[in-house]
Amino acid sequence: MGMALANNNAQFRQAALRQVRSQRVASALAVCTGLCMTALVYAPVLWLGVLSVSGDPLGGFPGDFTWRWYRALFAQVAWLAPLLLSVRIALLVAVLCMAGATLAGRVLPRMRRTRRLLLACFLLPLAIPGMVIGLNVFIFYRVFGGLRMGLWSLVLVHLVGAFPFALLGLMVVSLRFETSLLEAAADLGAGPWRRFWDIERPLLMPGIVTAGMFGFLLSLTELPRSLFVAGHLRTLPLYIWAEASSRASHLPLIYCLNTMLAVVSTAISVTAVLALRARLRH
Amino acid sequence: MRDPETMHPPTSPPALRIAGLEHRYGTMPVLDNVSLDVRAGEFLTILGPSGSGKTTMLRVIGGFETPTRVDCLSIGGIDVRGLPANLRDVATVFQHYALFPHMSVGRNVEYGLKMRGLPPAARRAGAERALALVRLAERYNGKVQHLSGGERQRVALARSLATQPQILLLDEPMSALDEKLRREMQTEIRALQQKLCASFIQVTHSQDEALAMSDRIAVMNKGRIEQLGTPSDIFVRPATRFVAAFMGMSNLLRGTITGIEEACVRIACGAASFLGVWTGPAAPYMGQAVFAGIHPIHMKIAPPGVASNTGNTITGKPGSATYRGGTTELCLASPLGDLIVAIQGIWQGAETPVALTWNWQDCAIGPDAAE
Repeated sequence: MGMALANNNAQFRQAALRQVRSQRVASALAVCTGLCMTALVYAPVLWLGVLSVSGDPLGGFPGDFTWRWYRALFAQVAWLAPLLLSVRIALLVAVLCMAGATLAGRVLPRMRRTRRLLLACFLLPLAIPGMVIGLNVFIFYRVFGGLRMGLWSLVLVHLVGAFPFALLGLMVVSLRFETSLLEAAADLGAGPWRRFWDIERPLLMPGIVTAGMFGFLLSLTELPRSLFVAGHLRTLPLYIWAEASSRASHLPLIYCLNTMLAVVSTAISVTAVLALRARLRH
Repeated sequence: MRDPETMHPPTSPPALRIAGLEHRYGTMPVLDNVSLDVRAGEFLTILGPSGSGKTTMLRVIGGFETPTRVDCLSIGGIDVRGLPANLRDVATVFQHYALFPHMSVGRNVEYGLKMRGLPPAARRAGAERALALVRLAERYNGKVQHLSGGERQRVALARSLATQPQILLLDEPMSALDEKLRREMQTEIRALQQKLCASFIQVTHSQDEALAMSDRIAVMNKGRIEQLGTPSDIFVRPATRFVAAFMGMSNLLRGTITGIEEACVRIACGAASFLGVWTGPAAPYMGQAVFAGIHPIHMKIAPPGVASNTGNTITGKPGSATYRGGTTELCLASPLGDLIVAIQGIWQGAETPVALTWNWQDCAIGPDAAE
């Protein structure tokens, strides 16, 4: 083998060169894919932003730049109540996601036989279309559980939709958690609560925050599950949906509102990630 | 730090008392009726191959495993059966140290004192004392991630010692260290234990570590303690074939007893006959099937033409030689099978047969396990 390699030195070099080249191509492909995905997502957002400050946004082409639509948006406050309601629901869902994902996600990796089954149960809602879940809650819990359609029914369906993501976000962290750390803490005299608070909570914090962010953002923009269970309430997506579909004259305002939503939710996500990284590095 | 006389008066209870300990995973016995006393201030090593139950034993003492049955389990005279780990006055140095990655070195070491409700100033003082013991006082504010392997181990030691536990448990403490560091830490941990007059129980599969560090060694096999004794006892006077093999007696022969004297026994081994020291737990009897074990370092190649007067002589034909640094292990084909002799330096002899000899005091004879 060694002899063969030495004899075919030129061939060997060419093969090595080919390998290096193919690795470069793979890296370039990865970078391209990333850029394309980013462009696909953000180009429309940028376009929306540009249109929202255009004189005739419904014409489809930017120009005649103006703050007119933003002024009109802030002149009327019909969207404020839906926004506050959505934020309220999103906060509730975020808290429930953090608590639930922590409770389930910290023990799932330690279970042996039941782990797969339980995880499948937790993730199954992903396979059910959102609208179906909304409808199910409407026809089942309203009738048999006496659940009134309103804030809590919205929280419930949003939670059902967001929890699998929250749980996965937490398990990314908890699967790598070293249980020997808990034994060490017990060994040094820490009871169950202190073990959780001093060791698990800080080390799982990136996962807990991820779970909360999934809950918050997925709830904030949730439409299909909300359709049946909102009762007389109007969340922001429901409001935008209704306005956009019924009143063409309000459409420019919707552009502004959506632009603001995109900016704010991106800002929240980036801040959370940065804060988390700073904490982890600390 | 502590005065041995006041710490451990002669009447003080043993640091650890275990009697009738049994543990099973399902139907598979892991610990089989184990009993063990550890004196206060003693360094005891539980030595055995993987799967012998030694780690389970340590976990039972630490409170991480609830045994299937135990008649007595007391630490410092206190019955700890049923007590969880956080209520037992023991501390463990874990195999991979299990330092808390999100806390500084100092806060790691303080943690046990914090759990005991000490105020911050006292905690800090205690942690600094413990860090000074392992010569890492200046790393109080350091990050765990920035420590080297040896430093991590010393921090883990300091963290466990900070609470001044009745017993310190060490679970394969050297397994993650390189050879040089391992030797240094052996000396350091032993010195620390003697300085503190503390009771240490170490689990290891390395006979080197066991011999170098311990007051007594408990050799475990298949969930039982095969032999309990001082390092030299275990090394030179193994009571069973398993202990002999595990302690490196590569020359293991089978034979039957043909003579019993006060100090020694004579055995017949094939056509040969020789003397050795009886090491078995029960008295020997004529015709008993026995093993005979001799360490390679206790065998010598007799100079040509000089007949050995020890009586323990056999001829062998030199075969393969393995260089071990200080010694060379030479394999010889003898009428009793392959024998291994450790010689000084490098083997440069021919392949002509030579005479092997050994002192009868260095030959351990005990009951054969097959019996």
